[in-house]
Amino acid sequence: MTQPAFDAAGALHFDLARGNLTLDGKVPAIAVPTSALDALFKRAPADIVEGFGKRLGNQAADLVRDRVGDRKLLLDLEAVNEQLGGALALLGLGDLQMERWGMALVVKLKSMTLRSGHVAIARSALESAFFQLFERPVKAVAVAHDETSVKLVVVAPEVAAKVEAWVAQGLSFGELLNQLHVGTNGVSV
Amino acid sequence: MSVQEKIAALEGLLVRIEANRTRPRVVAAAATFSTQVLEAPPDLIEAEDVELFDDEIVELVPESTPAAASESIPAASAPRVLELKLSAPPLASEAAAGSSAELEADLTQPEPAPVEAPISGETPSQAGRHTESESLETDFSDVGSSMGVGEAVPVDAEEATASSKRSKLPASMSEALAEAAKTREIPLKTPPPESGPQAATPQVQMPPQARLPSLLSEEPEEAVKRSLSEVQVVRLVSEARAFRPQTFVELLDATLRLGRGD
Repeated sequence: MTQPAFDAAGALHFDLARGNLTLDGKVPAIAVPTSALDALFKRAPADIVEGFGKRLGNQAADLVRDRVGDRKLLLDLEAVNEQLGGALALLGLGDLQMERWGMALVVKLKSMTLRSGHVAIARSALESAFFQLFERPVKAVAVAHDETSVKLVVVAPEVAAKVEAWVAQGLSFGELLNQLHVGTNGVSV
Repeated sequence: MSVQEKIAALEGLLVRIEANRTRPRVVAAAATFSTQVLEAPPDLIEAEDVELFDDEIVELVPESTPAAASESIPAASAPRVLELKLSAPPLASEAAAGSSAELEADLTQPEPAPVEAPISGETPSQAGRHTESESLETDFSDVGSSMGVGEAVPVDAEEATASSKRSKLPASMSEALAEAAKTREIPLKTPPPESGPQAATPQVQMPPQARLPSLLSEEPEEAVKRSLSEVQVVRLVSEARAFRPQTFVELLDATLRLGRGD
């Protein structure tokens, strides 16, 4: 089934006479160099950075809803990846890539331009967007990252602390996936 | 010469023609015609003394009989035939001498328009054949013999022009190689390869992107194989393949159930 592509037409409206920028012509926005945000997030507390990411996630969900209209259109992984990825790209957060590993949902954000707080911002943005779109409280645990990319595993909030502990213990990605599937649907290792 | 004199001369000519009509044909005298000796009849020689205009001669033609026309043939054609014979090569003249009997027979027969033959460059015998057959088809089979050239000169004796020569294919490989060796200069010695110190190859610096892949680019099965045994991999892969969520929400719910085991 062919999924409709993310419609970015008119997403950014520049009013040069008034010096304004809006998202979809209704949400006031501002174009900020990432260097300015990096300087800010270096000294900002973690909850401030996560709050910033959460608002970005909410805005991304709004952009998706404005285009899809009905959540039923977000049928499969590809459709969600296309629409949500388009919204996050419009905000400049990076390139979204969603994968299914068994029953685990793994999300990657690549080509991020933020250098400070980009992991926390990516995590919180995805959590808020998923909640806004699917009404599911989720936690995105970062299992790997580098300067421009973040790899996240989506889990239940009550499981997030356990997964973070596995990551802190140095479990590899495969071992982490194995541990996640232990005891699920008869799979025991 | 006045007009009266011309008229008198013409009348005299007509009288002589009428008188000679009953005589044996003067053309028979040409039976002794050869390539070396050609004598016009005395009557015609006398007639040559009379200066005639062309238009006046044309006026007399309709009144002349076929016999009279035939009588005028030797006078008109003899010099031209003579020129043809003299211009022919010696071999041709010998061949023509061999066929003198045929030539004599042709000349003794009345020809409707034998005058055209010498003008077109043909011999009298050849012109006679054309008129006898009255055919427009051109027969090239006897062209050489009639010109007296084909029989005397062999074909191979004539050297063809350079442009008409065709290249010959070599009969054997050795012949072809020999021919090629004549036309091509094969170097007997080749320059030796360059020797001496060679420039060292520059050291290749590995770019930062060429380092070992991080976990972000790790393939799923490779990551699983590093941490699980084969049995575990089989179980996990089979379980993952058996799970086919129909919607994204179904996948999300399944994901949220993970990690709840001990």
